[in-house]
Amino acid sequence: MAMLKLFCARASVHGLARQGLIPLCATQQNRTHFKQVGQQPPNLEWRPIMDRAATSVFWNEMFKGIGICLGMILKEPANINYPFEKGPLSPRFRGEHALRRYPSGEERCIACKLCEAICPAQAITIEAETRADGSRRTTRYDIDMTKCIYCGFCQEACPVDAIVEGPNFEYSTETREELLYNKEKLLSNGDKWETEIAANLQADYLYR
Amino acid sequence: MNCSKFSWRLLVTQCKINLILCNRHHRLKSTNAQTNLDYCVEIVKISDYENYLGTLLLPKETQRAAFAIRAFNVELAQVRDTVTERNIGLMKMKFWKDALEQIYQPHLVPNTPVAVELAGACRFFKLSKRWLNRVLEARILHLECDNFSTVKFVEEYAENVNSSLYYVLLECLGLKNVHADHAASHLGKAQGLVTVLRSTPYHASRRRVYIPMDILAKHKVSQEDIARGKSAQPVKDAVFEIASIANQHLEKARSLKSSLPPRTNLVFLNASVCDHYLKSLQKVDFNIFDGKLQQRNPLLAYRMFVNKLKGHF
Repeated sequence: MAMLKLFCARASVHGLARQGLIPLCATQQNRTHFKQVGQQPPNLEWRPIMDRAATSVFWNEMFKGIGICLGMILKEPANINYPFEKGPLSPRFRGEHALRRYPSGEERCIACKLCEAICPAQAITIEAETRADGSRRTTRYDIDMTKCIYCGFCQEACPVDAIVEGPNFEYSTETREELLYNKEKLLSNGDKWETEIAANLQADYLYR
Repeated sequence: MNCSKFSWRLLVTQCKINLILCNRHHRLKSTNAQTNLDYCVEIVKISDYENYLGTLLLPKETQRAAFAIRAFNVELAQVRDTVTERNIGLMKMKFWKDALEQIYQPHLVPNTPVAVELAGACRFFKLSKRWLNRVLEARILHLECDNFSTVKFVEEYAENVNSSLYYVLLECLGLKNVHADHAASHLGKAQGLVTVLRSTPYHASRRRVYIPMDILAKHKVSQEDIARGKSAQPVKDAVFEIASIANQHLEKARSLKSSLPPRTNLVFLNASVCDHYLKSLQKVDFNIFDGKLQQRNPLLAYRMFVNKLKGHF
């Protein structure tokens, strides 16, 4: 019973403090102006539904689309205008073959046949003879470009840098026969691409 | 009207193309007078600029032979870096070996400009085959090994390659002197060690390391550290050790200067290359990957010329 009394007394003291003391000691705000921050349930009458649909379909999406379009216009294009512009090529790129000449115009190839020996696809055919001045040159130098696997071994094996795989990769033909290159074709390739080929074969100083 | 305009345009384009082709043809013809010598000079100039400068300072009568010898060295030195398979490299070396055999057989005309020039030099100055052969053999051996196990091996390789070339050049100048050979030996070794240091960034980019392994082990540096281009203190210590060996060789070669016959210093003018590299290495605190070390020395030609005038090297 005494315990119950004690509880009652505590409750009454508490009530007194809430009503009389706390308002005296602290300022208290009276909050009445609430704002709904959660998602409001959509109004499901016909008219509001139609309004919402019209806004989202015709305006929002359109402006978003125009915005993306403008962004794309201002962005640097990812593609290049291919036949007129070309992407970067490594100096070690292995493209169409070419036979080089010395600056004097004399052809470099001396028919040592190392390229023919190393070619894993056996695409190279060489015939040679000794000229009147005693130098050895090829009479026939054929590369079957349909057999070639572009491993670059011929270029590596050549002791006089005669046969090289140049930077040209645009030599598609209409017939297969055009891809059986002979010596004249290879030499003319060399004349055409000499500047690029020479630039690709440079070192600054001896590394060994 | 439109059609004719178009065809006219076509004609103009055709003419332009023809003009370009004619020009190209003309250029080929006009350079017809260029000789094998020009070719040798060109490849030495492009690939071995420092020795090109050194060769220009030699007496006129030996310049041609010196260019042939240097061009031969350039051809051999580039073999390893142009091949991906050892066998292809060996094939190329075999070609040069055959060419060298041909050079020393009278009445045979070799096929390539470098061999023709070298044959001329060898026959005119009666150069001994031994030294050129030694360069070739050393390069072939080097093709087969991917690293140097000790500094001794680097020195041996440098002696076989660089010093042999000096011996041949001394023969060209007609100098037969024990002290000159001694200086050439030391200078060649210094040059070889400097080349090993200087080419480290280049080889590291291809994941090859030619810094001798005993020195790497001594300073607890792994090959991976070098291949990744690290410049930590142990790497610097290893570089410092090799650089000081190179410096010792250089100093030794220079100390023999007083006992050398006159004109010998002309052959050894390339010592300034080693000297400059070692000094700039010291300036960048033995960090071999510093970009400054890869720059060409613009004052090299003047320094060599001054050395020539003063009789130094």
